[in-house]
Amino acid sequence: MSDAQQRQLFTSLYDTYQAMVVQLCTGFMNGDKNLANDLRQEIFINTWKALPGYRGEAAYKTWIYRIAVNTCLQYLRKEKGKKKVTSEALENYQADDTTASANENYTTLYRAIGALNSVDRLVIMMVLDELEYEDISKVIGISEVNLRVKIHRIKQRLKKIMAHEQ
Amino acid sequence: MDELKKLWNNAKQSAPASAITAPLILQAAAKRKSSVYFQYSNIFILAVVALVLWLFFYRLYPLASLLSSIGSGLMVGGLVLRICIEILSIIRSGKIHFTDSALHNTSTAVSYYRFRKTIHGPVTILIVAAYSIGYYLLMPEWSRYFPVSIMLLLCCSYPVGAIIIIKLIRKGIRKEMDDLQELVKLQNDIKEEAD
Repeated sequence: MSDAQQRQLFTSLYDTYQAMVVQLCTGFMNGDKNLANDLRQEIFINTWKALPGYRGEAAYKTWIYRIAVNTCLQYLRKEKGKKKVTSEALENYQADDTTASANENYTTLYRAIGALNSVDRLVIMMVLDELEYEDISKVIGISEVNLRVKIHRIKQRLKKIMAHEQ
Repeated sequence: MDELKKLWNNAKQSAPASAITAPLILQAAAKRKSSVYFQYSNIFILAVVALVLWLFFYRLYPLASLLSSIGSGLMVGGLVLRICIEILSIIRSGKIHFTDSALHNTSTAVSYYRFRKTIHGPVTILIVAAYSIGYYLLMPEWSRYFPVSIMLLLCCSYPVGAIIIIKLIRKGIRKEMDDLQELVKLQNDIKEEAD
């Protein structure tokens, strides 16, 4: 792949999947837009670096999800102690935008997702994004059967958290 | 769940759009460069030290006694062993790919950090001990060329330097061991339902 082709492909991937990535990052970072933006950059930097190695074995969406999930998990480890994702993040999220009622809903959503552990958080976000279970199992690296059990438990946890919130 | 999905999709649509990819590409190139520099700078420094020691002991001022030769051999040998380990570490860390599944990526990282743990334990102790013993084995021969004051300085300053270096190494080890613990926990979280 020539440099120009790589740039063209990267721009097209960025345009197609950046909303998906931003949403994943925002959910992962409890709604903190600044941290989510850092993470989004990190994910696309890793995507650019990995692009020459893309062999077409998975769809671009699944492939980017793999990079995004691994980057999120690594980011949390790397940034531990530097910046902390706190409940302040959610307050900032509310203060940032003008549409208060919509934000209140998003805040509840991010708060509930944020109460899960990092892996469960990523799994449920892929479910919410309507990624096929087969693809999610490929991204996470566990069998589809185990994934279904996992998702079932996450949904139960999420229900409990949401009930507690209300 | 359907309500959550709807909310999720609405939130996605409100995500800010940006199509500027050029700065990201530049950042990626700069990051790759700095990561390569970081990985190889350690090896470069160790290699320069080993080369200077080798030139000093074997070319400029060849040592006369067997004890000193063993000492210099231990010092240079310890450094060469460390360089080999650093190269091996780079090769192993290169096997961690972001495009692998989360479980595979985490497992490879765990295996890498376990390898580092082995190095940090017995191997590092062995290298530091070899280097220190080697250094003090040079003292009998050096005492023939240097006055007592210089000899005292050489003998007393080494532990100070060694303590500083050991503290720095320990700090790095602690950080890597924390990473290992986190990774093992992550691995268990991923495999939670698989067991």
